[in-house]
Amino acid sequence: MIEILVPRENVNDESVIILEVNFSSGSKVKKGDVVVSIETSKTNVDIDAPEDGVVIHQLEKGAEVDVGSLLFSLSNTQDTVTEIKEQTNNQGAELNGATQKSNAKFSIAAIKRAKDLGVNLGQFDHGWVTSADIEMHAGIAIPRARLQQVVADTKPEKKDAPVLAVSSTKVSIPKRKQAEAKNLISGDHGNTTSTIGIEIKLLGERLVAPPYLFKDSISDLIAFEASKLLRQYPELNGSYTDEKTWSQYDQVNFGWSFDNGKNLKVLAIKDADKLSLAGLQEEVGRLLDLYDSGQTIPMELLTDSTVTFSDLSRSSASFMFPLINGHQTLILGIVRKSKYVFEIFTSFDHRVSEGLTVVNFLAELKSRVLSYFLDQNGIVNISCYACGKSIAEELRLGHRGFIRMTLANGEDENLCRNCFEGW
Amino acid sequence: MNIEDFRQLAQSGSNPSRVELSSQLIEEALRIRLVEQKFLELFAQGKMNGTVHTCVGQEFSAVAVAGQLTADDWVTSNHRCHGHFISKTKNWQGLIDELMGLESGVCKGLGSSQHLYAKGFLSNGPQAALVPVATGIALYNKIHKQEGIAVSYVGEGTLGEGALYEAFNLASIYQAPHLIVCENNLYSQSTPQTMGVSGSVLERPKAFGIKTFEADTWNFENLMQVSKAAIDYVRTGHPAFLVIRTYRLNAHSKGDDDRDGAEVQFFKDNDPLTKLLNIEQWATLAQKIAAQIDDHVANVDPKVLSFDNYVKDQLPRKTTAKLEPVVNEKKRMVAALNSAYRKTLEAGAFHIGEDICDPYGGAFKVTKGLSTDFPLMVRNTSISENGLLGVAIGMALMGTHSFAEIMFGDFMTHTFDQLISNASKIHHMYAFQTSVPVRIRTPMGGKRGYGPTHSQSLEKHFLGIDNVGVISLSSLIDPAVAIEESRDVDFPMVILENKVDYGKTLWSNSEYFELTREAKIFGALRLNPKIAAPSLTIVSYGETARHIADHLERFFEETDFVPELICLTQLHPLDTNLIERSVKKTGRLLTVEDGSVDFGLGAEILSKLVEKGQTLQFALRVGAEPVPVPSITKLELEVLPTIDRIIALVNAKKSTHGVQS
Repeated sequence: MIEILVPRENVNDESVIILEVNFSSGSKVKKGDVVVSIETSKTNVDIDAPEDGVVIHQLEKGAEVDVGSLLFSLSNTQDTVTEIKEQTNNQGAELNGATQKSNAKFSIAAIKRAKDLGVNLGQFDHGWVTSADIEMHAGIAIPRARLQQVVADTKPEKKDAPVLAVSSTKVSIPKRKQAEAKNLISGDHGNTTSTIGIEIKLLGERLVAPPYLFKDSISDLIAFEASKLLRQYPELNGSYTDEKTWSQYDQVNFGWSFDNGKNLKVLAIKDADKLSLAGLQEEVGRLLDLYDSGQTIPMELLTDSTVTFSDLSRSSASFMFPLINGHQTLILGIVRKSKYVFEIFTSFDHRVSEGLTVVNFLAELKSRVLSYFLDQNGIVNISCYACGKSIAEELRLGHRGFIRMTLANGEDENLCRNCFEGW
Repeated sequence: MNIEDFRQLAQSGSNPSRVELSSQLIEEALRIRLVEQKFLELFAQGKMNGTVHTCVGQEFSAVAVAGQLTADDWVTSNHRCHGHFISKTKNWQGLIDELMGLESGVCKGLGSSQHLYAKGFLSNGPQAALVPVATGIALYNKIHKQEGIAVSYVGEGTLGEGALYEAFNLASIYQAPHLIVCENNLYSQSTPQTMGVSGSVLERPKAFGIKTFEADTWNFENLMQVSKAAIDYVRTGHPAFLVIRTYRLNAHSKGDDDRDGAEVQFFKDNDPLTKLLNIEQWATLAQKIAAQIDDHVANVDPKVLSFDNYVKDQLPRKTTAKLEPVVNEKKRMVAALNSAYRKTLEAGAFHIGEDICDPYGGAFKVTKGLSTDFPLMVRNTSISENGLLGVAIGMALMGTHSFAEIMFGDFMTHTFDQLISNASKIHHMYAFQTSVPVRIRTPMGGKRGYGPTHSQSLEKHFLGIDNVGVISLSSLIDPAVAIEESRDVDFPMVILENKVDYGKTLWSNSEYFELTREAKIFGALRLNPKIAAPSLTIVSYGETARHIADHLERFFEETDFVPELICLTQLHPLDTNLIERSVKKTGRLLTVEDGSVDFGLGAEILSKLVEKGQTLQFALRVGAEPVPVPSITKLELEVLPTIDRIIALVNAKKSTHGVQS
């Protein structure tokens, strides 16, 4: 194999232009045939074949190629030619594959960060995506906000700026959002709060039985999962500051609403996202004791909530329209429509977040709550009403499932095959 | 010749009582002496500041040569120039006002004793610096077939300076009508000729094939004839050298005279003017002249030039917010430069350099074909960077836009004296009466393995010279734009080209970046991303900017910053407007320069931004390592600011400073 490199004909030239390609790749040439003509900065030069053989190249007329790179190869065995043809085809295939890339480009750091945070790169279809963009997408505190805070520090403090009990980070409200808020205010309802609900239908029993306090309830699961989710939805864990800024809380203090009919209080579960499920269950119990005892409640438990939860699932209400507490952008409420069907309502501050964001939050919350009811095979935890056999056992007996029957009080229950058919 | 020979000449000098010189010439000599003496008097009275170097005793040297020239001839002189000035311009009043620091002086008091200018005359303090300039003036006359000649006054001490020999060589090669007059008064400040000038004075110009003449100021009638012969000979289109032996009766400047007292007295006794003054006719004339001088001094306008009327330069300092798109033809940089310089020749410019003529057409072929079509205005020279720049300055003084090529940027070291002593100062020190539209063009840069003295980027050492602009050409934009714009300005300029950039094809459209330029002279370029908001501003120039532009995608991928690139055209004076606009968006600045960063362009950019109150989240200057550029290919690319190095340094800074993207 002879390799002919692009010559440097002139002292200036780092590249030459391909003027004419006289033989396509794979053609036989004789010694002295002019394979290709190149244009240097001064003149045109013919490059001929030094021997008989078969030329292999990837030259295109008009292309600019670097001095010193491979111009063409000259082979004189058929085998080599086949090998090279295969290589050329492979390269072509690679090239084709490469050109089908999406329009977005990712920095190396962005790809790594996306992997760390579990962000799907496929959802970016344009632009040059940096790790900051990935973090913003994943809802992690945006470093740029700190830069903006530095700039904002030079502005004088507004006199009636709301006093936030918990430390927070200011974030700019995009102009689009500002315009949207103005639009909502001037609309029929004249306010900027919106409510969205989602139904959660339990399909069975919890795989792991909860403490007595939360028997037949999913409130602890809501509190536990929502606290964690709020880290990814910071605009639902913040406070509207003024028409250009909102403040993003640095902690998630899940405010649990206690109401004995005389004395509604919301007590904060501090750093709720950092607690384990058991820890959170314990803390709710502790707060309930504190509330019931009538003792003076410590100030910070009363003022430090960053989000509020109102649990009406033990009442007979089937719909609620919760009101957002001061200095917050979200309130969660839960009602129970039937034994196994709950509904979660959220009211949110439309000046700060989007409806779609809240829908996504709720969908994610629901799926996480439901995961406590499904084992790794996706089988729910239901049992026969009569004999208590689990559905897993029923499936192992070769039956396809339980039979649903209606009791005298109108409630539905499950019955296994044997119990239905009798011994 | 030695001191004994001089004594003999003095003793056998012209007999004043039998002199048949016209009274006009003697009057001129007397006037020179009396003005000089007046200066000494005013100095003693504290009415003059600075210094004077009087030519008392040498007056006939001025009368014989400068006094026999025409208005079309040019004289360059040195520190001891008063006599030459008075003889050439006859403006002794302007000279007095000048030394008294008055606005009515020939240079508004700015230049004083050593820095005088009038049409047909210029003087400057540094020895020999103006001699190649005079060669350039002579060449101008030769090219345009004009009658005028150039005359340079030097001392025998000037025979120590290299520039003088470069001028001898060039004047002889070009056969320029340049007369170099050496006033040999045996002493150079405190150094006698025997200690400062080896060998023979006359053999020196002879070695260059230059015809020599000799005379002395004691035989002043002979001096007049010999001078006229020399002038007439030069006017036919040849260089010549005239040595005039003479003796200065006063100190070098004031009061610092260690010469033997008896020797000085001897020459005082034999001084022709002193002898003439013994004759009543001349004594009376002298009194008349003295009275005129006193009268003038008594009635000068005391107005002095103000700060505001002085402190302004010719450099472009406007800013603009307007940007215009850049679209380049598909051609190589060297071809684009060639056609741009061709256009300058069509407009009457002059090009001079080593090996620039056909068939060679320049070391990098930038000037190929030009000398064939413009043989008079495209000139090769000997290897004389100082000299060739002087010649270019001389042509520029006569109104031509002169392009001096310095073959490799590394050789710019030779040009500093002409740049700083002449080009930088002439417009100001001569009170804005003239300009020096000289353009020094030179290729900087390495990446070719040429080694330490053929790969440097020395621009940092001449950024910031008063009234000298520096621009950098880049293959990001057709150089014709900037070269065309240079036609509208008359200040001296350094045009930085780049060896590797010569071979590049002009920048064509990018999928991801939009190329615009500031709509003003030597406007900067901006490559801003179309596809994402920029998060880092990169500022560079020349080939390095092109190199970065070619690798912007890779830069983004490996540093996690979305770059916006600003390519400066005008390095000095530095306008940071476009940079500021970008940094306001990104908060981050990376400057990349070809030389080392200490005291360089990046430092200047950051300083200006800080002065304007711009804060930065991230700031980094990248340049070459502060060591000579090595020849080893791999090492050279690690020492110079190539894209690998730039990316590595940006990432290193990010991690050590905990800066996030």
